[in-house]
Amino acid sequence: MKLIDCSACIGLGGINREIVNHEDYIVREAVKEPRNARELLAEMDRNGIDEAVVYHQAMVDVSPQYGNAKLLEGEPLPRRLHATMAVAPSVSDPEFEPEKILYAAKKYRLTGVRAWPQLNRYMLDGITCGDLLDLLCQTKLPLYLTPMKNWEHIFAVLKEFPALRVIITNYGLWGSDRYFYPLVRAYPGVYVDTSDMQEIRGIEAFVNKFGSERLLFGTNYPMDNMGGPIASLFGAKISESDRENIAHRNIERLWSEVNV
Amino acid sequence: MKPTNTSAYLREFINFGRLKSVPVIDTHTHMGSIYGVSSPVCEIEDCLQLMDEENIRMIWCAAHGDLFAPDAEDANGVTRRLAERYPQRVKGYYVFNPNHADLYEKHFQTVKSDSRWIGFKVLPNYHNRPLDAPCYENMLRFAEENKLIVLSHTWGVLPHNSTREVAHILERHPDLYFIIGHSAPGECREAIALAKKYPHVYLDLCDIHRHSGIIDAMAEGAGTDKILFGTDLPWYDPNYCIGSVLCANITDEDREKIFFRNAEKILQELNKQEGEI
Repeated sequence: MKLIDCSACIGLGGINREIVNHEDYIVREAVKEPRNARELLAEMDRNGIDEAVVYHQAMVDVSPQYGNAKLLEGEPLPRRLHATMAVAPSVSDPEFEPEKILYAAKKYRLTGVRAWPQLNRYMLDGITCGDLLDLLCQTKLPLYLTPMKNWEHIFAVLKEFPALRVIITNYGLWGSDRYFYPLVRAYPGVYVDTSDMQEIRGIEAFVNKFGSERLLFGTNYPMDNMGGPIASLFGAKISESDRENIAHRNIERLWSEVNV
Repeated sequence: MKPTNTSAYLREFINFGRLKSVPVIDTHTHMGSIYGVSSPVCEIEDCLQLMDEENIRMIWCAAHGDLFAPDAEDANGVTRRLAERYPQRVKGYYVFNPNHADLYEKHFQTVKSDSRWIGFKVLPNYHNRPLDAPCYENMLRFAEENKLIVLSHTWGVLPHNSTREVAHILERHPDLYFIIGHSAPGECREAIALAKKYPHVYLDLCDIHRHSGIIDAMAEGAGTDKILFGTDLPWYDPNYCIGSVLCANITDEDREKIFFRNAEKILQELNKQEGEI
């Protein structure tokens, strides 16, 4: 079965590595990190993963601008890896004006953008980021968000921009269904990365409640290893068609609907 | 695409959605609902069904109710009833909460003589008492002298149960059978060093298995003889931890040790095994 990882990370962490246990609870542990695309591909090969959506750790540890340059402006990514870029408000950081994001989306074939509003000290709302969020609604370019600190910014931005496509990732191993179930129920553009979905029969419960179209196979590598999410997917008691949706079809559909 | 990892157990899991040919002993579990998360599968009957499906033959358990709500009339009654009802599937950890030591100390002899109990479980950070404080000393000495195992919650950096407190008690009790619960996330390398140094100290995969390369580091630093499978069931699905073991850079023989052989060996050494696993 084809496997597309919806979110993995390249690059060494300044602290190896800050890992979400649950919102507002970070564990700092030394994990095996992929220093570059080649090392990530080697791990994907070992685990049978065909393709992956990637970001660079420097987007978090240094800045969106620096991390974007590390990922996008160096050696071109191998075809099996798909880039995302970090964003910030254009009112303060003009390199993130909508036309420049559009240009980058085309040039680098971006499969999504990532925002860490709390880390970068801005409000992810219409007042601060209306131009960006309008663009994402129009183009259907997915926005990756993590509740590292809390879930409030995810609820808030979707309340104001319900047409957004949001991929919730890196949410920690404590069961988070009390947070993401309401979002999935309320907003058709919300998708959940399976990488941290460790709760008992979590995938089955989600599929029974909402169907299989809103889950995306992910590894959150290297915070998570690749084997856990793979075993969760292949061990889930769901139909093969549902498994295929989660493994690759859903994210391929998301990509096909992006209009840049 | 086909993985380059040639593990026969990985191939089996991908083909059948479960481990069929190797059993698992989960050495770190609880039972019952718990704050903070929804728990649709948390009672023993549902968990036994899950265990059958995922080939988990036995769990070592301290129920949430016994851990967090001391019962003056029936200390550890929840876990005891589980182990009585399912003696081939459930072994009990006798929770020792030093804030109510008198409730527990009078039952130490029962823990020794009754094969349903394999040892003690402590939660120093949650119970707000440092693991190396005198209030644990009677229990630790009893466990060491009577070959009972102690599972302690540990977490790096946090007070009361970091690897420093663990190192202190092991200096005093070098022959203690001791599981470093969660392997002290944030201080896993220090936990590995302790497991290497002491003959009966074990690393627990619970929670920490999910991070990239952790099992490899444990195997390299302490050896796979010192790694125990654990999941916090019913917090987490054992399949995820099984996947972590399957993707590690170790042999299938090593995986067997982690899945069940190390735990089985401990049961035999503690003289707590009855029948085949």
